[in-house]
Amino acid sequence: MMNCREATQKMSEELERPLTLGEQTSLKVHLVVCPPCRSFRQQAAFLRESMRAYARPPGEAERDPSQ
Amino acid sequence: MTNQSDPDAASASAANPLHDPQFVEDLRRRMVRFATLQLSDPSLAEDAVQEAFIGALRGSGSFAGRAAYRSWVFGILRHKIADQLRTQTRYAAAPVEDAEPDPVPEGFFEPDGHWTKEAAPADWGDPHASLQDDQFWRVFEACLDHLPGQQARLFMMREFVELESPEICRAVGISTSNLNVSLHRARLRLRGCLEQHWFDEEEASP
Repeated sequence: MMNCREATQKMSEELERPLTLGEQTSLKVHLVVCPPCRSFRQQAAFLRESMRAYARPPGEAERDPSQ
Repeated sequence: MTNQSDPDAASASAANPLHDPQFVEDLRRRMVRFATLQLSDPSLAEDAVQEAFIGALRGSGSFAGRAAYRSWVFGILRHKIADQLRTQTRYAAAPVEDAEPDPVPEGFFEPDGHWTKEAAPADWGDPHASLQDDQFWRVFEACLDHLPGQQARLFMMREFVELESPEICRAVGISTSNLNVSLHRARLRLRGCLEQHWFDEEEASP
């Protein structure tokens, strides 16, 4: 059974590469019983969103400033 | 609080944020620090920041305030850094021996791999309203500043400069597994910091 440290590693890697079917299954099983890890997953995605929003005012489509 | 943006005061200088030297200097300092961290070369970093400001001058009539100006000029810098890093990639020698990854964060997990009581993530609800809040961005920047240098560099290369993992590995000369370890730790630290200094306090004072 996957523990929280391993689950967070997988959820971080999930943002870098597609997980294998085996990894996805183990992760799913863990998440069913682990609310803190479910929060971690949403928050890791939110970090990505925030960091990207930093150079893009909310509500504005991306524009290429070099143009 | 001197930094608190009063809507009226903000709109007074909103027409041209460049009229506030303190704002420009703070922004410039932050950009130089960011560019230096990314490029590992202070003079390249100064040049990139200079060029970003010059590029921003061309469009400075169209900003609806400081946040928009900051986003605009950082956006230009982001593109310049991405170009520079990709150029470095082309000339990079074979990856050097992986440096020791940053230290394992203490206190996140019990020895059996489960969250410690203090570190277990809380439910933030829908955090998106915070993206509109200037104070949130100050906390966010402070939390980024508290990451260990290499973690901050790699995290921002990935999430801000938006290089893909293989591009980062080539530009920096590290292995994929080393990159993944650093990104994992950066995410753990950053979300912990935001929870402690933003989302927790919000809950405490609804």
